[in-house]
Amino acid sequence: MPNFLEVSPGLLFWTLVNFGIFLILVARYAWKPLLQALEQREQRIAESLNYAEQARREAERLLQEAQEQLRVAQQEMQRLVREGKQQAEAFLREAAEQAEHIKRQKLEEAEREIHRQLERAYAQLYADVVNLVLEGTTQLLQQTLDSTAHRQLVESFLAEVARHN
Amino acid sequence: MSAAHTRSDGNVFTHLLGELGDHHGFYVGPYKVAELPIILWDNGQLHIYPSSAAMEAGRLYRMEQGHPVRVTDGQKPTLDLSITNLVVYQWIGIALLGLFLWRSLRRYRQNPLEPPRGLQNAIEAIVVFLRDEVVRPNIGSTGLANGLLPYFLTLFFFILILNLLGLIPGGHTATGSLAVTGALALTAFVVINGGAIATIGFKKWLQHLLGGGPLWLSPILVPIEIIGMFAKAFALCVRLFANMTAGHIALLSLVGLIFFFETVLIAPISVAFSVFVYCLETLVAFLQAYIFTILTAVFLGLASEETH
Repeated sequence: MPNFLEVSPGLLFWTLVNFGIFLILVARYAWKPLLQALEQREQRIAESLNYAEQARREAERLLQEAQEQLRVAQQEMQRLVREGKQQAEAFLREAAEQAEHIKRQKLEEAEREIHRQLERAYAQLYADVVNLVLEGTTQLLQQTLDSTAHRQLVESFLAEVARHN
Repeated sequence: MSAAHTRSDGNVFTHLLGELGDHHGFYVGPYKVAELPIILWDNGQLHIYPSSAAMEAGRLYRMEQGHPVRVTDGQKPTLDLSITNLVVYQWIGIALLGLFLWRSLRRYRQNPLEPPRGLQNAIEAIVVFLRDEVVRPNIGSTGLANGLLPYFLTLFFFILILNLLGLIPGGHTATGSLAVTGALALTAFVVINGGAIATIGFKKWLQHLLGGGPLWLSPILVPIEIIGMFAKAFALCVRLFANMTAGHIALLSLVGLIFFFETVLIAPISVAFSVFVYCLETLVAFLQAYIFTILTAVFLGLASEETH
């Protein structure tokens, strides 16, 4: 039998011893910590993935919320702008109307005042002219003229003049 | 090879094959590097010699064809428990594995949650593969799978490192010896049947021997099942041995061609095919470690099934 086909009981024995001792040593000092570290890391990775998924969902939710808020805020802003514009326009219109109104009032007042003053001036003038005329005429025609009849004459004349004016 | 220059005796190949066996003394390639102790158990007495020279000086035993025999009757001693070459190669393998594991474990201790790197990554990839693809799917019970995982990991790495050591130029292949693979198969046998008994109980394990057939078939089935039980372990033993030895024999044959034809012209062919076979052997080194491991797991899974 060739050398390499022999089954040496000594080698078998030593192989069992070697393998046995090696198995005990590595099982205790290598595989145990290694497998534990693996489990630990796998657990950690699973947790991290879970956490990442949660964070992603949370972020999505927050984004949606933010978008919703933004949309609401934009609507609110548009509403405010529109309202402001309307208010400003209304205010302007009102102010313009008021200004117009006041202007018209003032004009009317001024016109009335002018008329009043004019009339008063006319009346004054009229009275003064009448008096002057009367005085003058009285002095001139003291004796001959009946003051009342002549006054009527002069007044009618003056009225004629005023009408023509 | 040392036998090359002994071509004159007309039997190169026998000499080359002799290189594959176990030797007294530590060999690198064909060179004896160190003497190893010889331990003999004979007639109820333990004889320990530091070297074969010391043994011969003791005048009780002498070396004959590489084996110690009694001086008196030329017979082998009862038990030769010497530290041989292949025992030393197992120690080298164990030391290398220990070094690799120690180096990668340092990182686990420092920061177990860090991603693996370098050597640690290589070992971890194999460990995870064995755990998730070999041990857990084949062994139904999770507790048993976790409990035996260290055994399967050790088995795989032990076989792998011994296979690879044999591929290093000058290295000898411990797994190319029937005694070594036989010892490993013996552990597998114990694990398969011990694991099965631990999982399903002794009674159900015995029922497995019936092969699931009716009672009247038991005279046929029980012997078959018992033979099968041993055949599985035997097959494990022979498969690993044969695969590791076959590659070496192929290499030796290719080199032997040069001497057989006594021409250097055959050398390019021999070298080219040797390189090819060498690459193949590297694949086989991994493959056979894997096959031994997964078959042990499969057999254990089959043996520990509730119903046959």
